[in-house]
Amino acid sequence: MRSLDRAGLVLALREIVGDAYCLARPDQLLPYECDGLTLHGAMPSAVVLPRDTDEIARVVRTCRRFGVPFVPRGAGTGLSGGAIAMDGGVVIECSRLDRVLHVDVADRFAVVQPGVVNASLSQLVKPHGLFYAPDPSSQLACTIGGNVGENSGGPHTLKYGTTTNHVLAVQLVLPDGDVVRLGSPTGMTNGPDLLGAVVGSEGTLGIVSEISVRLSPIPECVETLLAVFGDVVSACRAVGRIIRSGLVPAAMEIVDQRTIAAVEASVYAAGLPRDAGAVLLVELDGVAEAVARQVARIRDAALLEGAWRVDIARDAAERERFWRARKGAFGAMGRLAPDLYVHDAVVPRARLPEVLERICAIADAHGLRLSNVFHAGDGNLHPNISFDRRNARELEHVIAAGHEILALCVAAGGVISGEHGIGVEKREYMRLVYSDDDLEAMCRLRGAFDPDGVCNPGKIFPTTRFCIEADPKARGYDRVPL
Amino acid sequence: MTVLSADDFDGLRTALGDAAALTHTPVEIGGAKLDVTLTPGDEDALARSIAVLAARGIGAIVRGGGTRSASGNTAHRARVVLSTQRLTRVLEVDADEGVARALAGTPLSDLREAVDAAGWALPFDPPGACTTLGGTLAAAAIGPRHLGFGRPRDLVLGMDVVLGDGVRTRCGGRVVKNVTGYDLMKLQVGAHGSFGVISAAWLRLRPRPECERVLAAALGETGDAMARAVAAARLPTARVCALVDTNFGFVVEPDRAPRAGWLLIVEAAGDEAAVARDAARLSADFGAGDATRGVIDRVRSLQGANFEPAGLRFRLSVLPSRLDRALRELASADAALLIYPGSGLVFARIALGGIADGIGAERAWLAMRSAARAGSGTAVLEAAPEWAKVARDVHGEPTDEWRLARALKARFDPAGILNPGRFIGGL
Repeated sequence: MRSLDRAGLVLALREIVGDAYCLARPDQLLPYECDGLTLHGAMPSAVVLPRDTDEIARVVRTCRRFGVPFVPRGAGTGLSGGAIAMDGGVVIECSRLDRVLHVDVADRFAVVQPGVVNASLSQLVKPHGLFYAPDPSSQLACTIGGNVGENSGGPHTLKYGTTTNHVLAVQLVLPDGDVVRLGSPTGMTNGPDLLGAVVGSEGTLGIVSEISVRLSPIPECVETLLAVFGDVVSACRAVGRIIRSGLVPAAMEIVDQRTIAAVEASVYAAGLPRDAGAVLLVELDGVAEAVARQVARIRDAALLEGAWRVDIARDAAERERFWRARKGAFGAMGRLAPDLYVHDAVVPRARLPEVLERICAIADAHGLRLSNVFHAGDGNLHPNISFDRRNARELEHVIAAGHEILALCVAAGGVISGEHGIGVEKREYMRLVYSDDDLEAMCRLRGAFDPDGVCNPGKIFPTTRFCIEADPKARGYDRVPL
Repeated sequence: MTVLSADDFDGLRTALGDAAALTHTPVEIGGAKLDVTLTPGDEDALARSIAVLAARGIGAIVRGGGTRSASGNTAHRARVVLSTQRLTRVLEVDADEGVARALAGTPLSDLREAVDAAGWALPFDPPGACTTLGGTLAAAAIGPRHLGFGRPRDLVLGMDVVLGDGVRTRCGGRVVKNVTGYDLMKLQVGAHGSFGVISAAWLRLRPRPECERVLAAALGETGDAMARAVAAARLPTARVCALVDTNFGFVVEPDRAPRAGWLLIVEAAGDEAAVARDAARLSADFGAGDATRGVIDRVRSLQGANFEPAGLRFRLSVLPSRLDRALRELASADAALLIYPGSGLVFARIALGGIADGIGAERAWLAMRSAARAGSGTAVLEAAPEWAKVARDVHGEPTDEWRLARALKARFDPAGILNPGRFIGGL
């Protein structure tokens, strides 16, 4: 973009949102250069912080007038580079749209603005015996608007489903600046389910400016078990046994040996045995009488697969300690190396044991430090690679190993993202899963909403018809100092 | 009768050969009388059939089991029936995962049998003895157990779809969690075949409950009847919660049907202790007792299995807390009602006076529209004789979705050959 145009654009945007809410100085733009995936970066032309739907629509129309693309952004906690502005686009940051507009206790839904922080909604409706079920790991920071964009999951999606199962309606600013309502608080519309197509579209079909979400009743009883295993494969087998038995726990999470070591050496220490090969965390909720029996069945399943011991949380404090091992994992891994690559892939749950073994073998072959902490109940793996991006050789291995891991998961019947989205990170890997015709069908959907491709361009779709290059630069790793 | 020209007939036969059996069988669907049916033998033949139809601009009515032939707007420009009746195979039931895959023409009864044999439950129970998987998904059809099973949109993991230009595509997958690209499954579920023909699908299964119990109770005409019914639907193990009015009560459960007010039917399913607790609660709060065998099937049939359109059948979707208000608007419509209070769904049947009772139909529409507004929801005419659909959209009042649907139709079915005219706004 020419500097003259940019100055005009910034002026026009300031007229809409006010000087204070349009950022354009390089030092102001720097925090928006990347999201939670720091390997990818792109500098926006400007960042605007609109306060309502009307301002978003006017910002969008202004961007169109200047021929500049735009990208919606929540808290920037995404892990696939989905919230970065490619091609000098404008970032539309939704943090000022942070109000809960309405809570309907009788019909169990809430209407929120996109900047509402995920965990704060559950906190707000707790006195009514309700909660908002999707609980991504970043829920203390991430916003519901961002969750809609990514169709975010979390540990409890095993029983409760992902964001798409809890969004009833949205108000959407289309890429031409028009405002539409999709879905209905009743959960049923008299037209096609376009809401379902918008949730998880990574901000490429428009900008969500208001969301109606379903609220769920807080279960009367919760039990949390921690099973300690000698190896991660046995823990995976226990998960398979539980799924086969027809039990649906609220959550089933596995933390492997390497992660345990990191957690126990950090401020998140949960008192786990450091010689354990893996721990399996299982949470059950529901009717007290039923949960009591399910606890026994889970314990039996774990012991049958060779668990050293199974602890049951005696109180809330102990439950919190169990969860610390899971939730503190990413923070703890920050101690291991300057950078952490959090991968995200899904495989059929019965394939978890063999896939995990092979993932570890891939990392070993590349000489990388890999640890696993994942949503085992959903088959949603998070292989984490600790590395130092300043070491160019190591980075090459990180990227090569990542590709091998994703290819392995797809070959096992899986997919390349369970909850982080494709963004820029995985767009070139989409062909591992889909044919050109499949991708073209997605383009048709995109075209109906955004025929000119101005809304969050450069995401989801592969940019090249050629094989993935080994060269990180060619794959869009702009921040890599090679 | 719409007769396909000899040239088109020969063109289809030459292009498709035996792969898509062409038969002369007069069929009446969606107001169109058609004399040619294409029945492709596999997914590839389905794709080739659609490509040829698109190239020749021949409109087709897509048909599974024919359960919902009386739904949708009157078809325009349809010249053949495209049947999925030979696409019948359960491709896989994965008992370790609790997922299954089948071709679209597979009757739900066959699929259910295979799923049962693997120790799981198929979470679909729409009405219609011949209902197919593809038809169920295309119509987003639900049955009484949707309260416990969830809706079709939330149960599809992956799909094979042939688009309107014959392009075969796949979306989603077999795993239970997936954000790899757009969720095109949701676009197809409930689109009535307007954006493509579903040829196969991966489904999430549900565990078989340890215990099931069906209870029935008479619920008076008191002002809080709806609120009490919603509370019953929110019991943790409630898989079905239905209210049936006095028009239907004696058909569903003769011994417990009240002379006035509602018959409440609740099916509890799950862990034995939890079911026992909910049953005790229903007994204490409503005086409910065990229902007779087959009661859920009878409730389902009220939703309209192979509905022969002698009258009108509407589906209202409203907020549960506003059911009362919506019902007040229906008071004058003389409708027979089946209500699922937990999800705010009302199935209303209205008998009409005589042949082409236009005034009766208009009066019914007005009442339904008022009820939908009072309940903050929508009204759809699910089944009706063709004359009652003239100059009216059975899908009710246009929404923002309709406008975008036009752009989607142009891209997913560029020649406009799939179920032409039958979907929202005459798409």
